[in-house]
Amino acid sequence: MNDLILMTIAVVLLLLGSVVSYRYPRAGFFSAVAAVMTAFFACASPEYGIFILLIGILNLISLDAIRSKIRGIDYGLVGFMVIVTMYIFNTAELSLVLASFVLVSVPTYILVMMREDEMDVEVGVKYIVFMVIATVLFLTGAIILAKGIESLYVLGYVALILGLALELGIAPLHEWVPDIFARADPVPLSIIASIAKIVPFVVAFRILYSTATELTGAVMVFTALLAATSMFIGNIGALTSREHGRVLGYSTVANMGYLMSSLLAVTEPEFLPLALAGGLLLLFSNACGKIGFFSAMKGEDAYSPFTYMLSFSFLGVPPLIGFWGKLFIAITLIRIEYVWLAVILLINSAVSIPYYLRLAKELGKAWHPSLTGFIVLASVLITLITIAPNWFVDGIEALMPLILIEMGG
Amino acid sequence: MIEWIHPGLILIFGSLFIPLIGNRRVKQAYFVILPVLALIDLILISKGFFGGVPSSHWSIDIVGYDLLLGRVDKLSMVFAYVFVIAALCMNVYALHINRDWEHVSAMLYAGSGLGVVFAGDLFSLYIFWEIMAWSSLFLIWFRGTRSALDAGFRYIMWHLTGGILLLAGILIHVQTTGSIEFVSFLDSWGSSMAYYLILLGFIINAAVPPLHPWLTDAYPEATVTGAVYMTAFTTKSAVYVLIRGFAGLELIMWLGAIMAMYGVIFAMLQNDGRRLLAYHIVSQVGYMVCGAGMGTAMAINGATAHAFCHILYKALLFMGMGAVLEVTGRSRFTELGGLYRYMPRTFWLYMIGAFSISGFPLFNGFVSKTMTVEASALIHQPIVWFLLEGASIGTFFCIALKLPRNVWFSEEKPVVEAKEPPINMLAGMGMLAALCIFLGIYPKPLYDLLPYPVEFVPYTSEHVLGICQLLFFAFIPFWIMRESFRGEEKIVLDTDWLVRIPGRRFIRFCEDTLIRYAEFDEKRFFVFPALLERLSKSIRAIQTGYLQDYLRIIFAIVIISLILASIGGMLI
Repeated sequence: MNDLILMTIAVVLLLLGSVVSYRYPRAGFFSAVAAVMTAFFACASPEYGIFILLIGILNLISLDAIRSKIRGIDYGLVGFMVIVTMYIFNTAELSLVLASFVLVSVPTYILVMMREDEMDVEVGVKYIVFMVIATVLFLTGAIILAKGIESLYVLGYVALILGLALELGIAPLHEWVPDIFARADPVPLSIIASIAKIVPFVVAFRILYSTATELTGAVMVFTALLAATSMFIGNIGALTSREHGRVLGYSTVANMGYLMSSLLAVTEPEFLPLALAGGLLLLFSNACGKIGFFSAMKGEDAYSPFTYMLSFSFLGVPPLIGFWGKLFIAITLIRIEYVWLAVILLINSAVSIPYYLRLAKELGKAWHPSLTGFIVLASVLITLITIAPNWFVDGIEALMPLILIEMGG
Repeated sequence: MIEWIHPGLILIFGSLFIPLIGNRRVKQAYFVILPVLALIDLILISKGFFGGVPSSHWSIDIVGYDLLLGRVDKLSMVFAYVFVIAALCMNVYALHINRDWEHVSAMLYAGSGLGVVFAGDLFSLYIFWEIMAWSSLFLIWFRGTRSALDAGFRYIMWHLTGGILLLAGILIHVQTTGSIEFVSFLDSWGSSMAYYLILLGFIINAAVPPLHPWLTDAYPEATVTGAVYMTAFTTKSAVYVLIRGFAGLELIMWLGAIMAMYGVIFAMLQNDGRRLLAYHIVSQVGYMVCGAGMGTAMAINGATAHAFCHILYKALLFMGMGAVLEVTGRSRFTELGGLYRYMPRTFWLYMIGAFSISGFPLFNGFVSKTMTVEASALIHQPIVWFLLEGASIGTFFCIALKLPRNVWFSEEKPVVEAKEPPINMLAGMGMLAALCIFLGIYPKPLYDLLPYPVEFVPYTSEHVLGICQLLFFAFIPFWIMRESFRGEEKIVLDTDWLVRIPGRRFIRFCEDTLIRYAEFDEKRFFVFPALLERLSKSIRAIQTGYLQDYLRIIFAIVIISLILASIGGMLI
């Protein structure tokens, strides 16, 4: 109950800040930071919450790097996404879980249009079309699964996975990602590519786990194939793309492929914590990398050792966060006897080496103190939080009893 | 009481404070104190202060696996000792450098090398292995030149690829056996793909041809002091893991023997002093890899002792050539000559390294190299013996004769004026030179450190006369043909000297093959990027930028998937 009160306070703070920001934009920022900190105290898992808090605050700070036409409100929108992401493990009710999926998605419709001093409606329309289709597919799939009708299980599963694939940008439903990433402003993209990816994954993970039947094992091959396709298309697409935004778009496609493979553990309760921890760490690694690289693109003044650190994290070089994410997923895949997918994951890590290093080289500059430089530094520091990852895995294990969603027939 | 202190972590965590120290003198003192602390730690470990040798320390549970960060035994201690001693001398050599982050990289690199040596399990081994790769990368990039940037890029591509192969092997091994303990894989060799992958990961770092170009490409491009660090840790930690994991595997014995000769042959064709020395690392590591492959007690002792001695003299040689580069800005033979009159101390210190690597009696190379060569004779492998002895002649040719002649002596007027390098550089070289001579004259402290009891006596008349004859007969042809050993502006792979065999066709065949290989070698990476590029273009072809095109694709995929799902659902 306490967490609900705290969450309500957080939302109220956010709304107040957004209203006042009409006159005092700075108030929007501070109220959003206060709101996400309040939400952190209500979060079901402090280990998970601390990452969301850090990523959320970095997202909020990064908004200062763009002269937005909706200054003030943008803090409210991002703050709201962060609060919902914090809340996602607190509820076991299907309706609230699905509402969270939608609530995280909607603010991005507005954010994606943000440009310096104007709004890019064309990008917005393109993006919204895909997101709406994704949401419809996902919700349809989730409801079919929740109904528990055996004859429709496979249909529901596939619809949910397709919705998730479209939402996250998993190949072959990834077409919007490179285009939007190459065209939109780096600042909103750093938000869309970071905090907005977490809730869809967690919701899918929880629903698939809660509705798993004996049919799941057979239909899971579909997810595995999508994951493998996404890894290859993402990495190969990035290899010869020159624009940094497009490369990062394809990098997202590849990373979401790695992430997708962690969903294969939903039928194996024994490996569930490792898979979830791996998936989340991979998302956090992706978030740090995307925030860092997009900020580097925006400011054009990122310190080159930092850009290399971000690349190393993406590549899965120990002991950075990306290593643990990939390692946990690879171990899970091997244990659930999807060795071929683990091998594909590792091959893809090798394939991605050139373009991540190229990104680091091209975006890295000499040291120069600035807002975006600071954001890059902060994202590098986040990649170091899990040098010893036990505390995080323990936190996720403690979270396991809260994973199951009540389907209510 | 403290259970144990990891010497590598002293360097790793200690290095992070270097940029925070403002006073230059304090910073320099601190930079030297770090390896001294690690050395004291090692001595305490040896003396049994933390529970003796062998012992295990720092077992950490991570997701159900026990990582062992401190496996202390004779093999790990001997490598740890030489890593720390080398780091100390190298830090003295690098004291005049003002780039804090280069110092940090160097200490991270040395510390992670120690991490590899003490790792008792495959996961912590992999973690330190990778830290070693990326920390050393900056030692190349700090040079700041275009070619250094490119070489660093290729260097890290090799190592990350090798790391991924290693990780793949480790994961398959763990899946098959359920154990992450790092022990010998000899009994399991051939039973699973895992061991091929692990071996591939190891031999990339050991620079076994044809997987060696990262070394000969990157080391000459590193900073003057960075290259010195790089000579010690990557290849020697690879030798360590080969001894630990694959001792007795005949395949690596052959690889090592071929490698010893291969490095020498290609070294002869070089015009750059540091590149010539880099090829000799390939050759010298060949002795160690070969020793590991033989697997007998004497061969393992020989490989270990040679790794120990090689780190000392090869660092000294790189320091000597680095000193030349530091004061003249040049390292090509065609741009150097006659430096003896300006840099006599550097020359003599360099020559101590040159005599050591050539295996002269009274220098440390003699007491270690002869052990490996004799081990090959004892197991009746005449071809291996021949390759190793032959490589000795080539080494003497290149390092003790060709390089000094081109750099320090020349019958022509010197093309560049120079002076002795800073005193700290000479001091670092002096420390290593003293160790080379000390261990050459009195090898007992080294032999006491070796993993097996040593029953080998280096100073027998047979050994001494044998090597003297070999070197003497190598000197005579050099002196006769000394003009042919001058540096040339371009690397020309003239294979005439290699194969004076009747039949033009055969010669042309050999030339073509070598030149083709050299061209491949110049590219220094895989051939599959072109294939990937083609694939990539076709993937990008669907990115028309039109919403309607994307919707068509997406709807088609969704509809087909849902239809298949419905059919599949009914069938299931």
